[in-house]
Amino acid sequence: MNPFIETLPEKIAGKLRHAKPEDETVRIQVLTDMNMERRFGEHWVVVTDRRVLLIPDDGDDGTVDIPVDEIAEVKVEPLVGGGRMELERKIGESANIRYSGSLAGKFSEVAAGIRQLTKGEELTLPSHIEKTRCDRCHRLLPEKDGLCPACVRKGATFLRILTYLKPYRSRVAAMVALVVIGTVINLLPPLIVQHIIDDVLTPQDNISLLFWFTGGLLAAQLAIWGIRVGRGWITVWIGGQVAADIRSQLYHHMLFMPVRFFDKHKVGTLISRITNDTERLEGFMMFAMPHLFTDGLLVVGILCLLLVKSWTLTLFVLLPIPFIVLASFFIWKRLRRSWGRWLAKWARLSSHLNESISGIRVVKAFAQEKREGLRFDRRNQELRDASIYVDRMWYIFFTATNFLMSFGVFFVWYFGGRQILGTELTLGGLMAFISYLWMLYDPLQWLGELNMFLSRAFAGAERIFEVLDKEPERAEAMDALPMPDMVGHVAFRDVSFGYDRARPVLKDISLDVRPGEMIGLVGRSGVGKSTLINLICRFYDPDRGGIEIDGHDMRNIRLADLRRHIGMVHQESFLFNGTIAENIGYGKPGAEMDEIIRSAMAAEAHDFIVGRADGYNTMVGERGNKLSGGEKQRIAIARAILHDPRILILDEATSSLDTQTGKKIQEAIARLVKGRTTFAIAHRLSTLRSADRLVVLDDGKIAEVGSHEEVMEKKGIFYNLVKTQQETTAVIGVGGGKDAVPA
Amino acid sequence: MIALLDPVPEPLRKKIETVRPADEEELIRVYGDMDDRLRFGSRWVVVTGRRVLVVPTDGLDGVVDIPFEEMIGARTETLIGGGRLEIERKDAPTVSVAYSNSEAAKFSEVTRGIEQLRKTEPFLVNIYRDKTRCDRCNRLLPEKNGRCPACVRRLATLKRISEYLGPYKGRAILLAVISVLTTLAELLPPLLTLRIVDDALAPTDAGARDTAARLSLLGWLVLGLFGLHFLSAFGAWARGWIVSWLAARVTADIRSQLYRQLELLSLQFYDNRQIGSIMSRVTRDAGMLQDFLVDGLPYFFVNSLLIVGIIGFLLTMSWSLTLFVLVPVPILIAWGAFFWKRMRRYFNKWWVYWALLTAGVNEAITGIRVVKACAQEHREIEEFERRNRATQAVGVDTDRHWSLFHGTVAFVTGIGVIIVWLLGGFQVIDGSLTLGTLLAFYSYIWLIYGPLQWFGQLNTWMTRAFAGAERIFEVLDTAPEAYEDPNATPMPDMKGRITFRKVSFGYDKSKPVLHDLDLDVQAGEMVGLVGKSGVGKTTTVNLVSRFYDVDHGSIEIDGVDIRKIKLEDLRRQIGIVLQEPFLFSGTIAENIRYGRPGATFEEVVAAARAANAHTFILLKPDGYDTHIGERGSGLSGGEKQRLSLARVILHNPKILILDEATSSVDVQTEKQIQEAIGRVASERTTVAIAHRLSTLRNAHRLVVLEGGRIVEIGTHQELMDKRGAFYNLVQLQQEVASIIEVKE
Repeated sequence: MNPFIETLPEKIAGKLRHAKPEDETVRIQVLTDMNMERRFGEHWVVVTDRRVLLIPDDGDDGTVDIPVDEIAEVKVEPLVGGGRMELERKIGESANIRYSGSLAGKFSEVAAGIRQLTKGEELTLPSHIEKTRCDRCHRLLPEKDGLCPACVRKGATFLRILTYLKPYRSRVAAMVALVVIGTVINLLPPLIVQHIIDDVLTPQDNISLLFWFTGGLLAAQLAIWGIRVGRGWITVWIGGQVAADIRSQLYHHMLFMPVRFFDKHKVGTLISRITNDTERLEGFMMFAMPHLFTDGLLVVGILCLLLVKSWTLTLFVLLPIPFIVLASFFIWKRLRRSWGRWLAKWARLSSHLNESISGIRVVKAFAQEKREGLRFDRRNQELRDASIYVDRMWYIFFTATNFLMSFGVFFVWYFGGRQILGTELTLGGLMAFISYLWMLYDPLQWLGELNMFLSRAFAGAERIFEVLDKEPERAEAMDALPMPDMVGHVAFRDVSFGYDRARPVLKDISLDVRPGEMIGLVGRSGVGKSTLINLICRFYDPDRGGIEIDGHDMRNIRLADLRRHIGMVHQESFLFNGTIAENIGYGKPGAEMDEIIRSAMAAEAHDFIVGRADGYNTMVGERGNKLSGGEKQRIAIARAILHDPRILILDEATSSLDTQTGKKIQEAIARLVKGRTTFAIAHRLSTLRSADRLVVLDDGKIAEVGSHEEVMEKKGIFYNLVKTQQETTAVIGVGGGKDAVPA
Repeated sequence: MIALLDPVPEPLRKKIETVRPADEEELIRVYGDMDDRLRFGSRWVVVTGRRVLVVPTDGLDGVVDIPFEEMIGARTETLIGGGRLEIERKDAPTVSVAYSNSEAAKFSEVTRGIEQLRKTEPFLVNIYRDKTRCDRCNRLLPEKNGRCPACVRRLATLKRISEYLGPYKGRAILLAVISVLTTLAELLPPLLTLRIVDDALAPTDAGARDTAARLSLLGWLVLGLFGLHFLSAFGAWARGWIVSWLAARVTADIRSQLYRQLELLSLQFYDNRQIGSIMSRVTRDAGMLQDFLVDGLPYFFVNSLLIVGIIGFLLTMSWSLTLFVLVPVPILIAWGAFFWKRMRRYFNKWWVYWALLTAGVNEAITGIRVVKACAQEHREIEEFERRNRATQAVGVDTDRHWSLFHGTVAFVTGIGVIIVWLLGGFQVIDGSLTLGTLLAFYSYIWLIYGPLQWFGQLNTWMTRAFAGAERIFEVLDTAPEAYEDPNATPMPDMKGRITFRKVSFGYDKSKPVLHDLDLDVQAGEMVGLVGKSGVGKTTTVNLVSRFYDVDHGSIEIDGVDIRKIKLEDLRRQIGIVLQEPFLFSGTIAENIRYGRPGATFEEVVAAARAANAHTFILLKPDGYDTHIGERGSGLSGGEKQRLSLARVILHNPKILILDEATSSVDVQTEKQIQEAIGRVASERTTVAIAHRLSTLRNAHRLVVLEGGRIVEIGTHQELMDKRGAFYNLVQLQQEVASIIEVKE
């Protein structure tokens, strides 16, 4: 569905027919949420290829028609709590459209679209706008495109959680049995007490009976203890098991998600799904669910008993219930809303925290600690106020229901007392009745809290399921082609691709790379070099066209096989916390120590490794932070060598190294490249000296291809690049000093 | 003198003294906690300036004496569950000392020390070892060098937490008063029901009063019950009202204080810690404190009052029965104490496993591209699976014990009720107790349940909250950078002359990176730092910004030791452009303004122009208002670099530091950035680092570093004429760079 074509109400559609010439098709049709006077009120913006129409929602007049060729400029300006799109006309005053903050992203795209039209370019609009508010309740979402905690579908989620219990059916059955028996036994003591009062205490006689009754109480108590421990034993096991199952399923699924998925989500939120959300779910399974069940049974059981004992009294007891339902209905809605607000504030606070702590060097370098502190304080205060509000609402809710609920007891004391005086009821009966009442209130009170608990657990569960429901990368055909051996012939066939489909980064790329050939990718930054490489690794799939390896479309090759034959050396080498040997062996688990050492030698890393006290067992620290950039890089190269790929990708592999280590690494890379199909990106064109062919990219297209001499002779883009580079590198040969500052 | 000396038992010390030549000082004395056959049993390794001694703990024999001259080398070998220190000898078999994993870091240092001594290099070992176990109770710590949750100093911590209530004394007192009143209202109802039973429903002198009088008495008493209930509900509401306010305030105060402190801490603090663990102090730990303050502290008072009050009422009603009812209490306490110890161990273990699991997830998700590129998803999953199941097993174990504990507590308390019925029943039968009193007794027993159970859980609460509090206090107690030093010299207008005087520094004092650095940079001069990677170039500029303080010597700016300059003045006048620019989420304009929040839009544009960033910014959909994502996602490397340059230009520093500012951009962008840098550097003192020597073409002087020392200083020409280290570097680079031209 195109987010830029919204459905028009009939009235406006009529107006539009009136204002728009028949033959123009509508390209954009969106609704603002503020009118010109900044009061809320709807206002339609309709854009065709030739004109922009602004149609107010109410009244018949006021439609503004601005032909595209009369527009001088389109500007977007952020205002407090919203923004303004300004259409500047060549003649006459400019037209303004206002919108609230939630629509800012959308209107920035609309403005870009109108701008494209005025320049006579093709209209490209993104196919997806990030959601910041819930569609249903319009509340701010805790994370972009996230789930609204207030609109969680509880029933469906609950059923889905239940499906995870299936493998443990027998244990669940045992638990249910224990719960049922436990509930029945729980109902016994008040009955025994009733008899103690009526048969022993009121007549003040029958000591032997007293022994029997207290013995009974003791037996009941023992049984309750046993069942409780047994139930705990089982539920804890089930809860832990299911949570671990979900966690591992989630992690499994996540690792196989396409890279696009990781582009879209912050690392922190992904991790919290695996840790926090599953933890909540575990809490739910272990505590809330059994409680829900027990308490539900208990409530039913007690109500039955009460009705049997005295239905008139029971009716009195039930009197406050409609009031409670009514009150909770009112308060609950507000509580949920403020809970959502709290969550959003919380997310803001922690994202600020994350950012300023990760960027602490920059904060310090600019001496901005105080300002960061002030910004934090503001968020902190907002969070504080939100949390006071939520807590207070909660207390009101809690005390009010509590108060209403225990009303029943007073009725019972009074009317029950009257019945005793009229000898319709015994004192023991009344006491039992009151005991049952208290037992009834306990779970009911808990039910109020349960809702909060459920909301949290279910929101967590939904977030988990959201990930689980996304298509993983492995969504390849069952008959995907195994490719245990690869020759390394890579062919691009009219490949087009954009991270957002509407904005292609690569356009109709066709290229045939022979096995063992080394291709140098050249071009300015942002021209699509890294994108091309991402496509070869199949981190993304092309939008149009296809990439073939050894004559097979890549999408048909088993992904694991494909990646096993592709090796990468990045500019920023990511190492895992572990020993050097583990990191080198990362791509080939089970590699012999000999192999590891040989690859380290080939990567010129052996010497510095053995120079360390712990040699190959040196711990590299988190992300390799105990090693220098050059050392990390060499280990990454050793990792690639051991991985022994058929297709090798060098993404700026040497740019962050000084010359001396740089040269060593060059040699190591030269050794690595030999006999492999290689794609290399380097800003320093010299790195590409050994490339068989250079591919010069410009504006997402291949501008020049050929050997170094061929592209130089063309005197085109590459020639210019080399020229500039020679200018920059040659200066030092000419002599240092400030006179060399270029104009 | 640095020395790595483990404390040694007295008999063993004597034994070592007999084998160690008296004139040699012990420099290292450590024990390996496993013997040769990998069984536990300690052997000591003693190192002097001339020899290594390996001394077994038991028996007098078996001492191996290895003079350095007989040694080929020492190295460590990792084994499963531990490792081995191997000392290779020239004419004798290799000696090895085995140790468990917990000692691995120590032995890695020992090996380094032996090698240093053997090669007569300066003896520098790191004597600060990461603590992985608590000193007092020897339990595994949840994080390295962290606090042991079991050994938290409770009272001191409680006192310190309570201090946060100080500013809100009035409300806290009001809260206490309301709590007391509410508690009273909760305590009285059983006394009324006593009257209902004894006087209205089942009076012993039945018939003394007529039914109508009893009925009206019943009505009044129930009305009283209702009144009390209303009071207590009102009290609960008022308490909640105040508590919500108070807790949120206090937590916000703590969070804000903590965050400010974090911002002011030196980079050294951040170097040793994971971002996640720092963050969780502000989020989780502060949250735990809030829980403690909302649910813990007020209930502590209320419940204590309730218990005291109830026991008081019980004693007045029947002291003999009360004593019997209290019989289970000692059992309960003993049981709790016994169990609690075990529970703590379980909780700790669980926490460690959980931390391991989270760390693994964090790493794999952060490095997802590498995982995918190496097609190692399955391995990561297996790894995760192992940790996941281990965590699960520990978690289930913990919770099972927990539920057993709880069940048993409930059972034992339940015994109290049975005692009431049995013994109270006897007393009612023989007339020494009225039925109403017995029932009131019974009600009180029920009432006392809740608070008692709450106190059972108190320990968990406190442990968690206090451990969190201690982690917070640890941050608060770390000395921040000296922003507020009253003796600091203000220097609002520096000229920019930088002088290094015999500067030595190492991130770890035992591993110096810079040795005796002497350098004088004139105001307005541009100095290029040249050298291999890891030679200390970045360290040098880190010292100028005073991200770290020098170990020896000093750095002066305009003749004043930088440790004496007001830190804010210093940093305000130093601008840094890093290789990997860090941008904040927000608009482009906000990012450029970062160093000078009040800058006008014109200034922002001027800075962007100077940084050659204006053109690309205008091409963005919203121009200067374009939002950039977390850490500048959505911009290319060159764009980010130019923005960070514009940021520095607007900051307008007197001293400019360029740390590999252009190494990660393409040629064209580099040219643009170089131009911009040329403009910016012209009137400032500039210290530039670049691997590409061409970047330094504007430098007045080049400083060549090697092994943490300056080996050459001079203009480009002078250094080239010397044909020394710099000449070689240039040669190498030209070789590499010229290849394309040669091919032409």
